[in-house]
Amino acid sequence: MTVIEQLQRIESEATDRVSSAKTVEELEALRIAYLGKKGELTSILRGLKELSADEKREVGGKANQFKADLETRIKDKKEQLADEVAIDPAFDYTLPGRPIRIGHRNPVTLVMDQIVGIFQRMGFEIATGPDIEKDYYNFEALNFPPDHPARDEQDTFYVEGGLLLRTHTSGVQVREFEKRKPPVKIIAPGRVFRNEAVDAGHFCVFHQVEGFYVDTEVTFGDLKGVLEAFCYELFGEGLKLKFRPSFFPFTEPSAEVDVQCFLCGGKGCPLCKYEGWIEILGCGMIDPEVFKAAGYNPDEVTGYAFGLGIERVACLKYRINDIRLLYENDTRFIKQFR
Amino acid sequence: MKIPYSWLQEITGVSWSADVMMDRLSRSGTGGNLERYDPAHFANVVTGKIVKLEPHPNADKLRVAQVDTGKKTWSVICGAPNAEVGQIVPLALPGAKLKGEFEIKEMTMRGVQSSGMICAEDELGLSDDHSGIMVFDDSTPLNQPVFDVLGLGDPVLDLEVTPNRPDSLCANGLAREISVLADIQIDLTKDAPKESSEKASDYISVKIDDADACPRYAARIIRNVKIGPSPEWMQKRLTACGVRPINNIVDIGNYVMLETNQPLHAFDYDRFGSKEVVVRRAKKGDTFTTLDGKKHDIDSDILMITNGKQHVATAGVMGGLDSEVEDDTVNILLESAHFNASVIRKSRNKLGYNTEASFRFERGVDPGGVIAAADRAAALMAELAGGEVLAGVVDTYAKKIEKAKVTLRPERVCKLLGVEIDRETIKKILTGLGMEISGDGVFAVTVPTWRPDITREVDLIEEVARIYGLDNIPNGKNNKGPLYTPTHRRDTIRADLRNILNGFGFDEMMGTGFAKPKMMLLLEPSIEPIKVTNPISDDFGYMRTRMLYSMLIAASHNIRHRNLDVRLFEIGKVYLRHEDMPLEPEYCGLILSGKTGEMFWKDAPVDTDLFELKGALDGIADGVGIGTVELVLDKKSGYDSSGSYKVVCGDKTIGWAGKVDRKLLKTFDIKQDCYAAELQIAEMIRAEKGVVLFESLPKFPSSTRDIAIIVDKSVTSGMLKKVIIENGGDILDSVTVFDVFTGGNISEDKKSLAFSLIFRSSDKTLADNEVDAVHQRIIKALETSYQARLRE
Repeated sequence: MTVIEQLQRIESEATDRVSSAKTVEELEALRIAYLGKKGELTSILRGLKELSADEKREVGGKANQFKADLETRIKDKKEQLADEVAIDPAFDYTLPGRPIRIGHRNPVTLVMDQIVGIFQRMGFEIATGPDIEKDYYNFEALNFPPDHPARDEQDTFYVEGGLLLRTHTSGVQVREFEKRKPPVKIIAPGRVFRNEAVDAGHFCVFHQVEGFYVDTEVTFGDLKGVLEAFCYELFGEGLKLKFRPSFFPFTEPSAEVDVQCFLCGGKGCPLCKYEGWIEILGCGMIDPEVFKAAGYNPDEVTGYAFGLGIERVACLKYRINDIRLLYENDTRFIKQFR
Repeated sequence: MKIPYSWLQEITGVSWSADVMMDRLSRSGTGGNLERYDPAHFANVVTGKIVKLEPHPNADKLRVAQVDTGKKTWSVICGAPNAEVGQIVPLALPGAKLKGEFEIKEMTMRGVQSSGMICAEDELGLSDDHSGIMVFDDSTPLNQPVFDVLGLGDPVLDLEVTPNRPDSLCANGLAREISVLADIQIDLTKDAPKESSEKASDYISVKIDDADACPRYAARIIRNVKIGPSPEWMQKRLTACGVRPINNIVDIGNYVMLETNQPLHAFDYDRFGSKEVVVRRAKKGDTFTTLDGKKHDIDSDILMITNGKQHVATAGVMGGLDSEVEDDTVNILLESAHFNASVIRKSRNKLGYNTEASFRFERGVDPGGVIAAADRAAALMAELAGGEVLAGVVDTYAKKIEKAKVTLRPERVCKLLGVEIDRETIKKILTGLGMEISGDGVFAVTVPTWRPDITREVDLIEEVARIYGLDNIPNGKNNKGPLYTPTHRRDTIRADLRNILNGFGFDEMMGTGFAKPKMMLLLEPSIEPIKVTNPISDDFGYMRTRMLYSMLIAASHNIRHRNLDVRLFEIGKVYLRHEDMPLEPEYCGLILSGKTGEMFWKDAPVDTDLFELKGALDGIADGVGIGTVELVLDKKSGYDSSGSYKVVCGDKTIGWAGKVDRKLLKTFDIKQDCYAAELQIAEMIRAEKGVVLFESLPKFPSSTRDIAIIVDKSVTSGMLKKVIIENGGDILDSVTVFDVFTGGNISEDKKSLAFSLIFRSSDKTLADNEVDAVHQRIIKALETSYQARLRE
């Protein structure tokens, strides 16, 4: 075996042994074995002087280069092993972390924010009105004549001073019209009250969102488009809507809107009571009488309005089977929402 | 209203199934549900007669009934309290599967064999009524399938007719709708009754004292009727419509009302008391007994039918006891009248009734249909009760109601709906609905009297829209409207508060806004709350004047349900009296109770205290951008007298905080300490710092010095901090308390406080001697101000 061959053998052997070494001690032994006073590489370097000038140059260069490499390699490997701290079997990493209590949103405000947010992105401005309202804004200006049967459908709480607890957020319409000139594009969330028997589906307090848009060329088709976009975002893209003509004193024509059941896609399930459709909101074109009450000229402007109940949507969305739970404020209930 | 499919199908001849009919009506404005029953759910359910009823030998509440079906007598155990011998009842025999799920089998109950079940309405799936077994009319034949006896094979449309559409409260009106939707011709006219030679006007005259309240009153006389049950087909239709059959005369009145919408009233002519009908308002102090036997005090708000001397009936609401048709009635005075809607509404409200008649009158009945309805009823009385119809209708039309004339600009249809509908289509829809149309450009439309709701152009556009089909109007594709709509801080601060408080572990609650009077006044005696004049119950009698009320209601619920660690907040309004409109300031209320933190293996949670609340308030102040807040002792009702504070931000008070009053906790049935705060949103917005301006980061290092001092227990950290800041000069960057200590070698009346002080200059690295000088000055000031002594 030539010296070169010897050197090559040492090089490959040493490289393997260093890389497979597991402890710092092992590496130290390797260092001594190759680079120590009596080390294999050291012996070769010592024997250089017995070689010819050519061989000396060739072997010397390689051996010195290899010596430097091996020294670095052993040193690096030693540092790497020193950084590796062994797993302590007594350390129980499965113990729970320090609890950070996160509070939870109320499903009513969650859904309200979601709905209001959708309309804000469509350019509606938020406005609100008082919970304790005048008969004028809640009924009269909305074309509910005194003593009209339509008032029966909204069981009203009255308070002292001839005022009432608003039965819908529609009263915000005339309040805002009085303050603004068209175009007016508003979303009005708020609390409403109905004096009806409390049961799993009804509570005497709930929330509504009223939206309306008045301008020179607003049509029923525009209303349909806006509500379709809204329902796509709230319930799922592509769900169909059904507009059923209805009656509200403050809109003409009026409609109730059903959305295809978002759970079964319209095939029929317990959520939609096997109808395939879920009633979701009321809407229509603002009645000329309302414009007159507000001082707008019904020949110059048209507008649409719609309203929907937040609790109803929350109950549908989260499949809450008793609306009263929303006002009981049991933390085991609230903690389910986020 | 309920109406059987077969009736509408019979009038219109339409080829639609019941489902299609319901769907088309619903899509044109008459919503509702189709009620129908599965015949399989009624298999082996037949009529049977209870022939014997004995106590169950081994059960107090049960009886053993022998039920005869004509072919066989079945022994059946029955628990219904209303069972009696002789009743004809629905009997479910072995093999029946009620509602498709409940199978009837032969069985032995406490030693007695039972071969079936006598059913209540809920057991058959007809309603939720479980008050007793169903009982059929005595004339019902035995062993008949109950499905047929009840006419359940005919689906019933249960319709929600909106208050603007009185015309749809009857078969003819609905048939008219169907004819337009299906594009078919129908004829609603009926044969006139055959009249005898005697004149009705010889028997009765009509005088109207108040033509506004009663524009029209028509009377017919039918003699020699024979009272008995009405025919089966009529009874079935009435039953399907939810009207109880009584006798042929009363049933005819009801039937014609369901057919034409015109409420009718049949008086016993011989008991009417005179030959003159006088319609007038009652006088204050009058009384009247309605046919249900109730005596009413009546006054001028109530329109009455009188015989000139005495009251005989309330107009349009309910007849009187004395003139009611009885089994021995022979001669009939038939009333078909038109009453003013709001007069009837007032009458029936005062009397406390909502009858089929008043329901229709207050929505508006067709004044043009008065005679046709009287004729129809008279013809049926002749046909079904053997009556002799006297010649002529005594018709007093005191105030003629003209057909409304409305103009329609066809281009307005497109302008409002957003779809081009051609003139011919518009014309066809309106004509189909009974309108007469003339005019080439603008349509001059004459509206039939059965449509009192159509008075304006927009009402006609709605008619076009609903018949054309709202689903046929294309959806708008563009977002229209103003480009700029501002965002208001009053809206965004709520979101900020919710995020912050959720992050702090507070759950968001929702109070009702109502309050129980006694508890509200205990909590806040100094504010007179707004009272609800018609509350559902005492718990909802007042509007809340303080958020703390709702917080305590919610805390109480949770603690009583063993959710002991309560962190709740609500953003909501309180309601305060103020001139003509109340004030409704919005608050953020917080409540804390139970443990701070949750159970953890390294350290145990501790009871919550004022400092957890203060931490939350500091966090809120930082988060919404009002800087820092301080608590200042201030007595506020609801909070404990030893721990009631106002929350101050700069020179503004933004709310209250503290430990909840112990007595109040007892009232709310809360057995652990609670801490709460009420922050007024508007004040928080006012206290906001406004624009955020960037400050450059410090370029030079800081020096830290600690000070530990001993002072009297009555000296607060706040007082000391103030002195430190006052004497810290420009270079004092921050002061933080890091230890409070009592006991040990510190005397009883003293405490030790330790502060960490950070010094920094913005333009150089501070030398030790500069810092030491200021540090010494601070120590000296603490010594002179509060006799503080450095702790060794």
